[in-house]
Amino acid sequence: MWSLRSRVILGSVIWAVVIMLVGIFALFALMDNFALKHFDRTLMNRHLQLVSALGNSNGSSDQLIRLISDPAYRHPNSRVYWQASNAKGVLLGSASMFDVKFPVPDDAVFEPEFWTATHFGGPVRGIHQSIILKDKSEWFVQVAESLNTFETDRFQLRKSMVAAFAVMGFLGVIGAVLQTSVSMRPIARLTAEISQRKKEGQRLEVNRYPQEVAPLVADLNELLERNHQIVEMGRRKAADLAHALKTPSSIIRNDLIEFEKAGVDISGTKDALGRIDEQINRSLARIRADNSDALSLEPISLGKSVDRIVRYLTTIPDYEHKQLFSMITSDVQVVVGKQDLEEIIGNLTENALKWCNSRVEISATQSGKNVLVIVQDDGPGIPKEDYERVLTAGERLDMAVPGSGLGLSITSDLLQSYAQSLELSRSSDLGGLKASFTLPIAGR
Amino acid sequence: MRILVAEDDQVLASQIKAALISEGHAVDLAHEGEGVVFLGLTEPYDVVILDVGLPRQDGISVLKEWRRASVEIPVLILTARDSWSDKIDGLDAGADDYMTKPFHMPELTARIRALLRRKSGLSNPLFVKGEFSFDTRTGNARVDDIPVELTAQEIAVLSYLIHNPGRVISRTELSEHIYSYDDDRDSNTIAVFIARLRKKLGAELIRTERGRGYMIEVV
Repeated sequence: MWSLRSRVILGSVIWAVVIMLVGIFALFALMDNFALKHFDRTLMNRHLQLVSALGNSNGSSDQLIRLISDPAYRHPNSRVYWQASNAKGVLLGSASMFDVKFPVPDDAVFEPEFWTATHFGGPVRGIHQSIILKDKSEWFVQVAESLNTFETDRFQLRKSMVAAFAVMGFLGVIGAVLQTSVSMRPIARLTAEISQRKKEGQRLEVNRYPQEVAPLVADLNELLERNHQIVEMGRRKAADLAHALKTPSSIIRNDLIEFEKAGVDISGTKDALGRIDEQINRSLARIRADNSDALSLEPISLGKSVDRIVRYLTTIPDYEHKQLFSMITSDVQVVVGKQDLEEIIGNLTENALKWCNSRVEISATQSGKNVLVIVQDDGPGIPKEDYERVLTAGERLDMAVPGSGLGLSITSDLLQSYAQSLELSRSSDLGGLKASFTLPIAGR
Repeated sequence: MRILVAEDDQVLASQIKAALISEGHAVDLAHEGEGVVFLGLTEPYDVVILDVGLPRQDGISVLKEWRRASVEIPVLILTARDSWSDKIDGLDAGADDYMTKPFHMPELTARIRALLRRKSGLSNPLFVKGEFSFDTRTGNARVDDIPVELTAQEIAVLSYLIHNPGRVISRTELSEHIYSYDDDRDSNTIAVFIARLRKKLGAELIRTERGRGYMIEVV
């Protein structure tokens, strides 16, 4: 898709060329017409002068030459010519004619008539007319001038006009480009602020934009806010659903325990209830992942979220003999939903605690615009061929270790909603599993 | 010990109450948030089981209100909300433990016992003094390793004294912690229970502080 700027520039160039061509050709035609009329008027004046001189010369060529006052006729290369002839064969002409004779028609031409022909190696334009003098003699009078100078001057003028039009066209295109750049500035600012908003989680300020763009900005704010509300609503519904399903499940489970104490075989019912609980957990986890806050994008502290998780996990008696360390010292702000980040780190850390021998470490390394978060343990690790399997919901490598098998798959799904991925590998530091992912740093 | 169960589902609340009573505890039930706040501020509970999704006022805000009022009752949050943020927010609000539904009743009662021991500073679930021993997990008492049969009220009185070692407990306080809200409380019966305990377990176990109350000395 062509950008608006490219369209404006291309349109300006095409329009400038069209206007230039139309203008040039129109002006050329106008100028040619004007110049030719001026040339012809000059010819007519010369013709009139010649006729007048002829009338006063009484047929004497010397007298005629004296009476024709324009000295140009006397110069051989003056390019202005005259010729007068009569039926008796008298042919008079200017010195500039040399031995060239203009053709004389057989019939008289009593109206002035212009003609163009090639003489003297170039185009010549003239006017001729048959006149009858006072003494009743009939003469055919012609005056002509070379068109070489006319055409040379016309060429120079056209060249100058083309150059002038080209400069005007170029300035016009420049002007259009500059005007486009100024007009496009609010859109460029909008693009930059949307990108910045993604990093800093702030609303766009509508009153900083011109009225053509302001409604779009207001709609964008509303859209982003609405999306956030939808996500929150989805999460609240998931929480309500969890409450509605899990409480009756608890009641059924506790009644089953009483039946079991009374000697009733509840194994089948217990299994069925276990499958129901598992499906509820899986579905609720899916709802939570589908309602990730990927568009909320308020920057949050990575260190504080990790500290919260560590503080919680260290209170759980099952892990009191294991060591959990956060190696995060600098306060990096990341662009991710707070609940989602705690879900990701919590799942990975608890998974590490379940499988480790004694030690789990959480670290973060900044690299350009992102931060690489690593959770690693000193447990047995996972075989490379099982990496994909453990990221599938419900898949568990060891049924003896308690758990739903959802933690890693939920983590992977949540990261994907932020266009990131969960990478599994062997930890070279601790020997166990190394789970890592990157997040964008706020403000970069 | 006296326990408050704050749970809006009355069937589940009754199940929990029955399980705790079978362990010798006195149990009060509350089904909505504002009532829970009032009970926590006015009654001397030893532990509270608190649901988050209570009507009128949610469990987290109830807990925060208690803590602001310096009510230090141990609280176990029992809820369907199992996200990490919910668990951490619950602990940050002042909860001492967090369990998610669905749950196993034996696990719930075990964690309640752990909370009670932690509150009392008892690191060992088995209390031993001389020839006397009392298992706080089962309520079983032994003298010279011979089991001694105790009634539910006797266990309740003995358990409260053991969970508050070295402190003089008045009759009034004892009656507040072994009877539920709706029970008829008669502090005179406390003297009867003490006398029976001395007869079964030995006169030296429980010391009387005249005019003040009773005490089991710290081991």
